[in-house]
Amino acid sequence: MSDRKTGSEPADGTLLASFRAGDAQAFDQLVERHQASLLRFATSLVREAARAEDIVQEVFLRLLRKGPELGSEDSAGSWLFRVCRNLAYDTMKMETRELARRERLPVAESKTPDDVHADKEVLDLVGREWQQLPEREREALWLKVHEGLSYKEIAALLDIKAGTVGWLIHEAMNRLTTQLRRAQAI
Amino acid sequence: MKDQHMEGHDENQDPSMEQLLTTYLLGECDEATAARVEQALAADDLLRARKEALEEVLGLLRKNAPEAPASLAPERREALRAEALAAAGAPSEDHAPAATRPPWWQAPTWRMAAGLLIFGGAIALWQPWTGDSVNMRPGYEASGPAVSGRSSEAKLSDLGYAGPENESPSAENSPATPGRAIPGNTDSLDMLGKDKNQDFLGQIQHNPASGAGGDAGGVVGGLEVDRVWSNDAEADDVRARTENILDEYKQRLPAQEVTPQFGFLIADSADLVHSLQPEFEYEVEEILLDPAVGGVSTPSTPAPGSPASSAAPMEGLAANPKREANRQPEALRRDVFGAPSTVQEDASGGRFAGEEADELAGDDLRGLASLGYSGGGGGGAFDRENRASSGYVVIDGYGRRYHNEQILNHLHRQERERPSDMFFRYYGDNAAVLTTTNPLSTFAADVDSASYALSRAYLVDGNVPPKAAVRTEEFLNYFDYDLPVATEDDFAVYMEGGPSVFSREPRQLLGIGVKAKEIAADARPAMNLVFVIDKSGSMEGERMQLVKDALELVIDQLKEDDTLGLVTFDSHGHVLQESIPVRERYKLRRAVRSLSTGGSTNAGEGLALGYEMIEQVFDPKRINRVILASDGVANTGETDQQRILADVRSRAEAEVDLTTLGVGMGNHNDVFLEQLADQGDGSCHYLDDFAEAKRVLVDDFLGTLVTVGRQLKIQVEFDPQVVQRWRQLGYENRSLTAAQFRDDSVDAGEVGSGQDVVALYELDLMPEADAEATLATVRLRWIPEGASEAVERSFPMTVGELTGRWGLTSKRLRLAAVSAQLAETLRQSWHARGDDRELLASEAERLAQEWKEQSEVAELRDMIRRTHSLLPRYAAEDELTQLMEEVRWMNLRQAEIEQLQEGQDQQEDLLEALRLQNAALETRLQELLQGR
Repeated sequence: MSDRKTGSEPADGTLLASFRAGDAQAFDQLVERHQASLLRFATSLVREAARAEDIVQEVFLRLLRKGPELGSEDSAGSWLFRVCRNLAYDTMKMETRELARRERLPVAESKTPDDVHADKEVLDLVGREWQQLPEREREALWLKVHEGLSYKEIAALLDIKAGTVGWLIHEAMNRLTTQLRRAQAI
Repeated sequence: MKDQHMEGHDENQDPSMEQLLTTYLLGECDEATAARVEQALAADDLLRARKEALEEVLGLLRKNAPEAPASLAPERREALRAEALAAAGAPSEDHAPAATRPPWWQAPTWRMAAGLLIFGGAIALWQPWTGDSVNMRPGYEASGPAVSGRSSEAKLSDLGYAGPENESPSAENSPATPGRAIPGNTDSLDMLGKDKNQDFLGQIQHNPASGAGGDAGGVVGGLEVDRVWSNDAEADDVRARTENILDEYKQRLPAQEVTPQFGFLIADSADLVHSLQPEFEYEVEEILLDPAVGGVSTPSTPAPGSPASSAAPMEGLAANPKREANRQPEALRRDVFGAPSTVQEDASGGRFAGEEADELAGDDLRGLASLGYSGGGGGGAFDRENRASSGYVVIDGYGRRYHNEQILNHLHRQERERPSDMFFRYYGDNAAVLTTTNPLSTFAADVDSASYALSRAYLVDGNVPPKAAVRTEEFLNYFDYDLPVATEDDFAVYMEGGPSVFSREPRQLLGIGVKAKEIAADARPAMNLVFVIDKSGSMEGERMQLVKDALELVIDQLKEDDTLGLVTFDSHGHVLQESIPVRERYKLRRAVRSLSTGGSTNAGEGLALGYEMIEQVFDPKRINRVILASDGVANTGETDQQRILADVRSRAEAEVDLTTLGVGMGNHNDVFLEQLADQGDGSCHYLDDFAEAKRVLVDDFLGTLVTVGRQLKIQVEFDPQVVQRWRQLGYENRSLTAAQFRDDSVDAGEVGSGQDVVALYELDLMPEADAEATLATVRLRWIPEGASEAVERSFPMTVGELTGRWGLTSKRLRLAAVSAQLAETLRQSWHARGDDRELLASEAERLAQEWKEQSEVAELRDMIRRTHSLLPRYAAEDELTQLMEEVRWMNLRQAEIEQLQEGQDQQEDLLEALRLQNAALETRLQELLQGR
């Protein structure tokens, strides 16, 4: 869902227009371009690969049927991200969110790289606290840390001000730090 | 949390050094700021320590990303390619001509309240229920057909919407120009771009003549406000944007009743509302914004950057007293509790827009519980996690939040509110009702077992289920109590009572067991069954295997001349196997084995095909039933959900029932699946594993599929001379008004062959109650299968029939009591606070021994153990909480006395009227006697 595109490739807007004009292959390119980041994001929320794939597939189906109007240089990233997020939340439903706020959620396997200093328990704790972050904070932080987007890009994606992004991330980091300190994990 | 934690933040405030530090670490600082930060770091030890902590956290976060697939599975890509080929070059649905979408006021299931819009700046804020099931129980649909006394023809102009000038509502208005707001036009509508929204709001002129705000409060122009978009794409877009606006709103109105969980809607047409609103199971709370600056600022702090200058001032709104009243959540809730007629007329519930009820019939308030209010997560607790910057937040029994002064407000009795409703509003649990105020307990039978299985799944995973997912009645009804079968009638009723051992006060526990007659397997009518099977990608693996196994079980149970058909659905519906007699088992099994997965979830098409298939073999002398098996249909768009539910309901009335099976949904409670079963006159089951599948489809095959009685309602009457207070355990959202007991149009539960329906009451007896006195009278009312007239029976029980000692009561009553106690504990019910855990555990152990042949009872014991290990013990609370409790109790007692007084006043009035009438009659008589 990065808004960046490499050099000479056509922008999403152009691809989408081509598709609507009859070029089915153009759509495939869109899928190719965005699927990885959408899958990452969806998995971070629903914590299950199959469900995440379900969701991402649905996102693309919606793009197909009721996609946004884009200028030729526009990216579909924002739109895709929003649809994906909303679908993921719908899937998770209210009580799961409530649950996430109050209880533990089984945390999906975390990537444990070669750095063996990362204690499994600490990672689990991080995972749990992550789940308990308020949605908006979590999203902003996710986009920064895992997708490497700039505040400006995040602001565009979430349709908020860059200043708000900074604040959200700050709040999120605050919470995490406090909780981890309490648990003496850091 | 920092001491200065604020829910919102002010753009204008300088970010603190701490915030800058975060920005710096994330590489988002410019050079100058970076230099500042580095300088500060050099000078400040604490800041350096914090920097290290933050870096550590960032490091951990980076490591903690769940494994995600790098790409969609090949089948999915193929499916997408196929769709793309089909759709390439076809006009997208955005461009569908206006004519194809019916105007919202003609949509069959819609009346206005789909909620609307905010002209004149009234914005409804939703507060989502903490529990979905609350919204979705029969009768109450937050997004469902709204009932309103107003004519559904209210146009936008009625709402005070004068509309942006120079907009011509033309059918050709192409959505290619987003941002255009066309009043009255049911199409176009994407005017929710943020800037455009502010523009738009700025252009609204309030039209005082329209009476906007003059109707039932909480609503502009009599319409309730809700969310709506015109199509899915816009939905997502709009939601994101409105959330953004909410952010800004929160920044500028810190003292409002707004929490991160509020969402809200700004939309322009009811059509927009119509198709989107059901997406979000939110409740409406009201809030009015000053739209003078685009709706998101207070007069004193104009929104930076907003086109304030272009906004026309909203005359008359500030002065509108209704608008002031609407600032209180009380006002809206009174409306939600309003118009008793709406409660009865519309069994499917929904928003109660419109009419302010002059008189709130007590019963109808309670009836709301039947419409889905089973208590949100709050139960009167302080929300310690999300404390507002300026104090405390309390969550009530509906999951609503109150800040500060509002806390006190919400504790007060609402106008004519019944104490039992007040209790429910506080805690989300049933109250112990004072019998003199209400001697009748009425409810609809329920044989769903999903809640028990779902809770079990949560516990197995090491989690506590959310309150609204734990339904005590489903815990009660999960077990087979081995009650003797009814021989003459459709139902046999058993009553037993004894001391309530879990209660801290001396109370009696009354158990009522209703046992349906059993249809012998060889005497049952032949069946036409159609399975509608979800084969979307997420069903892959264990879940589909479970469905296949379940199907094999069913095929084994069926007889030669029963018919079975198979329909599947992914992104579309497919016929897997036409309906054929079961004697062709080989074909059926082959079809079952061929089930594969992949694709999305289009339950609507699946059901449509399923019903079509049944139509072809429909036989009024047979059982005709569709069975839907899925791991979750929650993704179905709300408009579709409404349509599907309406369809399912009409099919059920045409004698094709629907049973739903939730398969391996993990911890997700799929409310739509339950609604489907409710409307479809069937039951909803949650199959978490093969054992449960076997239990539902083999052991209870006849119970699940062969209905014996429809619309079963139960009413229990207590004598105030004997029973001082009564409390029902469970059935919070199955309760009915006394009047609804005999209203045969009100949908209740269907009971299958040999099934049990169990109810429990905790009773406070009057001292010195006579042994001969009637303790309770139980009335049953149902429509026998194949009949059209309802049948009613009643069963009394005397005080003398109560057992003297708990230990001497039957294992049936004790099983019910223990199961209910587990439910109450899991729900963290007010009544179960501080109850004796060891006692529960030991009673469960005893039962496990006594019910050796039922492994479910041993499992119950294990669930209890797990629950105790997961839930912290109820701890004595701090002074503040205790004080709150006392205030609540004082208010409740006061309400009770007031209610008695009101009752007396009413009687006085009646008496007075009688006296006058008598006097008039006597005068006349005297005249006649004296020959005049």
